[in-house]
Amino acid sequence: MMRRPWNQCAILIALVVLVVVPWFLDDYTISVFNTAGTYAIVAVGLSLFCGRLRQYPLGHAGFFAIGAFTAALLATRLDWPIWLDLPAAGLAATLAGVALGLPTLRLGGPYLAIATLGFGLLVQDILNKADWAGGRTGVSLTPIWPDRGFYWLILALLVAGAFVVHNLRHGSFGRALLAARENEAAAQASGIDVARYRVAAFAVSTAFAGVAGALFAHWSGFVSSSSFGLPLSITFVAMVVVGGVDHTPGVIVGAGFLTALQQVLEQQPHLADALYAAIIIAVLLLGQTALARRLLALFRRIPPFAVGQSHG
Amino acid sequence: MTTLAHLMISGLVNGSLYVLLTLGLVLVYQVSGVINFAQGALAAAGAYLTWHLSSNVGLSFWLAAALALAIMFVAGLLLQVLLLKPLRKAPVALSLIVTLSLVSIIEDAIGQNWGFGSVLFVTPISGAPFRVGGVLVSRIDALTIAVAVVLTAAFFGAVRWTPAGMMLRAVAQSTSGAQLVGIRVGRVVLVAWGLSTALAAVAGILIAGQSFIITPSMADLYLLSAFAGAVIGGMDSLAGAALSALLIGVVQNLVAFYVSNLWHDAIVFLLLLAVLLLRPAGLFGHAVQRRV
Repeated sequence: MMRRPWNQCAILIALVVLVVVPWFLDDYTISVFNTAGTYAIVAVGLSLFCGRLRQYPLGHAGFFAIGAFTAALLATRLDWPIWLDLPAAGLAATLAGVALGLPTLRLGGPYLAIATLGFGLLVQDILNKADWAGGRTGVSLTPIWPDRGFYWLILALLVAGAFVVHNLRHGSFGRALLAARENEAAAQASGIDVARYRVAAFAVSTAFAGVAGALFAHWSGFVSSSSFGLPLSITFVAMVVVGGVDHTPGVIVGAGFLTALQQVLEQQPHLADALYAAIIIAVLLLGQTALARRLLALFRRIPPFAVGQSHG
Repeated sequence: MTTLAHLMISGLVNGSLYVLLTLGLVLVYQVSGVINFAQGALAAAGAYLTWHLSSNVGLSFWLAAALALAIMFVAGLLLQVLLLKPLRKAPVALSLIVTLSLVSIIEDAIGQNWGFGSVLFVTPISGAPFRVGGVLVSRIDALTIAVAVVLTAAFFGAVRWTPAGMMLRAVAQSTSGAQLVGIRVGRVVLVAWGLSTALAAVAGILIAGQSFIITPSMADLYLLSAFAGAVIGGMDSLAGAALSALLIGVVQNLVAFYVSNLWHDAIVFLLLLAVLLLRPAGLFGHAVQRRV
């Protein structure tokens, strides 16, 4: 990091702007920022796993839902304060993540993708049928702060999360994951417990998803099973991929971009999903063209936008 | 006893539908490494096309179905050329995101064209049910099983004994190896996509015939079971995947009846996890290379 003073400078400026900006925004825009922020927390957590292992789980909406419902039920039924139910939500999602990760992470790409996809669908299926949890009808929470208050909490957690992921990625943990990806046998031979590292990285990503889900429940004031479907899982992975899997600020920008896109498309309720999907495909396809590669290479020279590139 | 027999039959019917979807999935996966999550949406597209051509355009049902299959075959070729071929050198995750995104695009396109609600799907298949050893089997059920059996047999025969099938197996084993001996890999992948979407359309038409009404998301739940079949059987074994898909149909029905209907879909996922835990290569697959 010290080698790149520009990087730090740009991030610092962005942070100051983000801290100050809610005073100048209306409630709607702040709610968009809150959505983007909660999604960005999931995407940042996911980027550690995806970036270092090049595997892409497709069920993180399930962990997001587990976090959201844990927090909502604890807050409404047991009157837990927010500083208790946030960690509880993270813990619940992590436990589910470890339970899912242990059998499935031993396997290569398609198996993990399918198993996590199935998990996401299963969570939604269970919530749909769980009347005791108010899955389908939904649970309403009384917001404890105005949207602006949550804005700063989300921002603080996002920054803290990005910091944690950045350090994990570039520390010995991230290097171990990288080694596991590049040559599993060699990594194993040099004493890296590959399976454990892989599960740990997955657990981190699910913890982030759980906490983000809890934040979502609190600031939006309403959770129901229908908001946590497969499209959300795809969105999380798309945020990571569009932003550049290995680059934390890039992932946050990706999350912001896709959330903004969704908001714009909401104006066309019937076409929103299809247009959104079409734009994601277009972005991915355009990214493969020679022109885009050249642009990206150019971009990479400008410090804060080191898209899709690690600087570890 | 007749209850059990009935459950077995309807399980076999569902299983046959899963087999048709699974075959397409595994075929595309083996030659290109891409998982086609849009298989269910493509099945729905096939059903809607058949409905449109017979009810709105006025063709006879069978002609409409045949035309729909041909259109879906071409659609599969186009999907491969336009969307997936450009991504063949990119990380496979991008292809997965593309096929996943296709789900909402296809389902929305159907909804925009023909309505998001349900549509009545009329087939000319009517008449008294067959009686097989004391159990009544409706005609559409019999047709479903027959179509699945014939197509699966033809498919395996072709893969095993025809030159095209041999090329397909070669590409599945090693893309670069196949390329070295002069096989046009791109063409094989292309045909695999066409076949796979056509198979999806067959499944879609049969599902529609079963349920009489169709909706844009009609095949989504079927697809989950088909995926489970593919994984449980082992993604590298066509026969294993087909057999597992059939078994899933039966088990699902038995569980739904004897345990609880709530478990109809959940049991599939639990089975999937159990197999991944105990026998990660799948019941019929070869050992996965990565062992940790």
